[in-house]
Amino acid sequence: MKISIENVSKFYEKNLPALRDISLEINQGMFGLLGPNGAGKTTLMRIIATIIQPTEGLVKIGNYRTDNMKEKWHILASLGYLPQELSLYGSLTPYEFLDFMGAIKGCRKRSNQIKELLEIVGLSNSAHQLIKTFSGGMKRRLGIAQALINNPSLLIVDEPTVGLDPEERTRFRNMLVDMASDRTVILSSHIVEDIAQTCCHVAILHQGKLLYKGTVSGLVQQANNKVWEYTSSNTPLHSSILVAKTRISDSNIKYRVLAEEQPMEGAYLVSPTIEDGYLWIIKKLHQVFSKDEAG
Amino acid sequence: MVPDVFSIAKAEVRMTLRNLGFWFYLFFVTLIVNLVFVYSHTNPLRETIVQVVSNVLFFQFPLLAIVITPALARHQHSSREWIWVTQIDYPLLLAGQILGFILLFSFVIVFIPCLLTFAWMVFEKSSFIDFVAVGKIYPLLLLPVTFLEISIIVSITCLARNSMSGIAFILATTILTWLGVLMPSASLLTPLNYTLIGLYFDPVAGLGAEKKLTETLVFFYFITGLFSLFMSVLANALLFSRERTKPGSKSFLMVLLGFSAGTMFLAYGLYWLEAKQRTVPPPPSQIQIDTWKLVSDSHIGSIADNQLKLASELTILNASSDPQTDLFLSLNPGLTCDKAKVNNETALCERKGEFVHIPLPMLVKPNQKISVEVFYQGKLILLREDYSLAYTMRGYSPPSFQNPVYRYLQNDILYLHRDGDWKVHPLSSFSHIGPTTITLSVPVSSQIVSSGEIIEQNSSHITYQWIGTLPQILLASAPYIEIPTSNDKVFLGVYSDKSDFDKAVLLLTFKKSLDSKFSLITDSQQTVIMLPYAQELIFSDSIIGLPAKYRNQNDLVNVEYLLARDASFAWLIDHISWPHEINTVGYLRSFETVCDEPDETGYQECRTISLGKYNLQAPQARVIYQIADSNVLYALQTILALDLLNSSVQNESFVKHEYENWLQKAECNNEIILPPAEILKARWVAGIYRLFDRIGEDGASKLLSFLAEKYKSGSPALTEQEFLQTIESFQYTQNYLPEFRAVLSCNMADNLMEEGK
Repeated sequence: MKISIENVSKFYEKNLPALRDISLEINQGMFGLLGPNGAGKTTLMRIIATIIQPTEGLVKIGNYRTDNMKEKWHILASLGYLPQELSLYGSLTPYEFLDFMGAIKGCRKRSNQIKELLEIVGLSNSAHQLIKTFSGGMKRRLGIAQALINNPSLLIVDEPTVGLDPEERTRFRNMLVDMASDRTVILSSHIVEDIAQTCCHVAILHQGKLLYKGTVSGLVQQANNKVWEYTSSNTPLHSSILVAKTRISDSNIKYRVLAEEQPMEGAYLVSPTIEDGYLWIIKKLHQVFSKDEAG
Repeated sequence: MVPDVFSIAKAEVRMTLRNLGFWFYLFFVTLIVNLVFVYSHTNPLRETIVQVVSNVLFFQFPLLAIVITPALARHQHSSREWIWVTQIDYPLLLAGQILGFILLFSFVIVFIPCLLTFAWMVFEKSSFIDFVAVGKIYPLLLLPVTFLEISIIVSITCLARNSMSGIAFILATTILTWLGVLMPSASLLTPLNYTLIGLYFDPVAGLGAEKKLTETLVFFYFITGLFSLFMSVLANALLFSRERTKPGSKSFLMVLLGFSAGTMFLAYGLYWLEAKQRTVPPPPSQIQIDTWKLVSDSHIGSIADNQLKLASELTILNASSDPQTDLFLSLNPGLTCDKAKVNNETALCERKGEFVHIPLPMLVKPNQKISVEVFYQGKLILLREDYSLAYTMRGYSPPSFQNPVYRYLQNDILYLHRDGDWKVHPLSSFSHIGPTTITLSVPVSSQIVSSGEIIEQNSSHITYQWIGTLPQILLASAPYIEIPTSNDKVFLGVYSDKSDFDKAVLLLTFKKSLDSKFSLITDSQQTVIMLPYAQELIFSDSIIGLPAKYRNQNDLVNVEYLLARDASFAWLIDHISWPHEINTVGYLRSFETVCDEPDETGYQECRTISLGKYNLQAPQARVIYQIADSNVLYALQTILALDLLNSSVQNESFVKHEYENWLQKAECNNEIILPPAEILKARWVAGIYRLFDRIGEDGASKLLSFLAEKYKSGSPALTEQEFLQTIESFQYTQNYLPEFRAVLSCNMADNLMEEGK
């Protein structure tokens, strides 16, 4: 399912834009939406999920526009959504909850599907336990199960790994990749690793602006020849240098920094990662936007 | 695909059952019902029902709000946004939730009172009839109002969009209503209270005459609830719903809203119409009391499909000193006059309140006889005040506009008795007994008890006839339960219990005792039959009509005394002619209408005084029949009742105590404390008691037989003066007149007291 986002802006209050002139195309498979907290990712997700309407611009999902009242109901028929904030019905069991979700999604004969989904998300053994007794990870998994009921062709997951332990997080990522084989999955996260592990295509949002759209490898390339490593004991760092990582070993500190030029003698170039690419874009392109606005 | 509303309801029921607030609600409702049972289990069933219904409906409102409001508001929070990314239409989600609440709370609200009543029945604190009654009445009253309360809670939550605001609003309204600040205008239960105040559950007819009133009330509450729901959901869909409502749903909701609004007004109109029809009908512009004397009458008719159809032929005489151009005949407001003829000339026949007005085609001079034929049919209306107000008008004197209930016809239940308004007759303040023939064809659907003679019978109908100058018509038919006794028959209502049977047996004893006292030969077989809605005990030859009013008494001695008094009264008015009175003065709840004597032109000034808030029930006064406050009748009734208790129940201590009470009241020094009429009554009781004591049982029996012979029904009435003259002239009593007069004038009252001690 193809999603077209054309010049979308959203203002919750006047002069306080949550999104500014976003244009984007998303095709089938995993798509990552990366950005720091408050970047506008959730707002964009909610617009795509038809929960809110953009102030300006147009969103099309398949052949349907989200701002058309009649067409919206067609979109909802093929949509699964896992919001960032997730509060389920604690006094129901997962089975009862999914049965309820199936009912409101208009899904008949759903018993087998519910059992299958519980199996997929690994909750079969807890199917008759009250949801309020679940851990955060179990609730997230149930959240994805509810999003998947009725087999949607578009799945939107907003910050799904927040609060999960590493094992749960890995499990969750794998599950999403499996699901993306025959549908569009939009994964929003501020955790670069989540995107790196799962997505081929990515967009980066920062303060409501689209800083990057393209492939993950393209994002890594953004930081090519700009990632340096060196060891120092107390060398002061220049303000134009962005520290990506520091590691203390013995009496020295090993720095991994992003800079246009060699930051100091002894520094050597290393291969960039997606995180380096993300940080480079956030730092540099944001500076450009800031200058433009100042100008 | 249409989302499955029932699955939403099922999920809601599951969540509510696992909600602590629900168990809190359950506990409180159980507690309230139990408290009402504890505090009112000695009260009549009707009062218990009213108290349970009122208390439960009132106190459950905030409790329902505490459970329902958070559930409805739960989807407002962004953490529940996943629900809005489904195909769920907001009104449909609400519909599912509401359905869940209605199913669950309806079950609880009916189950708890029924279960508790059953428990009380098991522990013999309640009778089977109570269980049957609550099984029928509780759902009827509790369900629609619970539905309305849920609807209001939904509406407020939808509009407030916040659970705390919703709960706070409902809690504040309940508290203010409880404190009386918002009563009665703001109380949604006002129509219910009005209906409940007079709710009467008959042992023969069940809800019977109350059925339509209750049904329309239920309908009104239900439709109001629906209207409230549609309005709030639509408002929510239009104003706040984040476009969660499909355009088609909005149009559909608008259509439903319009339809429910129209139906709500219609339902209210139907309820009010029913309420008004069950109360006082408009009075006639003119009433002819004693204007016409009945010379003879005959009535031929039939009963079919709840309809009475009669053709009456009356020969009447202008007993007034003025020529008459109009004729007013009493006739039940439910009957329509089809045709009338006066001296074989066709005449107009129009309904005026409780009368039909026939403009006479000729001037009828004083003492001139005319023949009047009237053809009429319809469904008999039983006015609520005639059977229900007796329970709520205690302490009023005269007791409102109650007429004796001499007719009831609904479904397979029939009851007709003497000069009820089920047949036309002119108003007269004395017993108008003339040659009468009544022929009635009655469908054979249930047991029939009749004092008439069977003249024709086939598989579907029986035709009865009553001929004579004293037609003691009593015709009752219903699906009675026949309980055979040694010699006699007892027919009880399907909702009767053992206490009714005990009363029936006691009445048989009283009847036989009275018959022997008046030197009458008792029929070999007597029949007691429970009458629907009747407020008076009725004797008709060998048939005894038992009213259900004694069910409201719990003190056995009081019930026995009351039965004995009523039996004596029924016997006395059946065999002796007493002064009657027809007037238009009365009280009814909020209004009191008092009319002056008519002046020489016949103009009568009436004043209607409001005793409180405006009440449609009493637009004006109403013509009422009333047996005049005869001291002789009262004293004979009392003495015969005490005698019955003494001889039949052997309750000597009660009789002695009661007699001492009368003597105390008769004392001279009571003149300051008690009203003169009360003291005079007591002195009559004391005087006749002493007279009977002097002349012995045989003498008393002879005196009563003499009175029954000389002043039998249809003769001039037995007044106090006539009674004194009888004492003076009757051979067994003539020596005791001075002593009797002395008691009446207080000279002897104190001595009697001393003797009594």
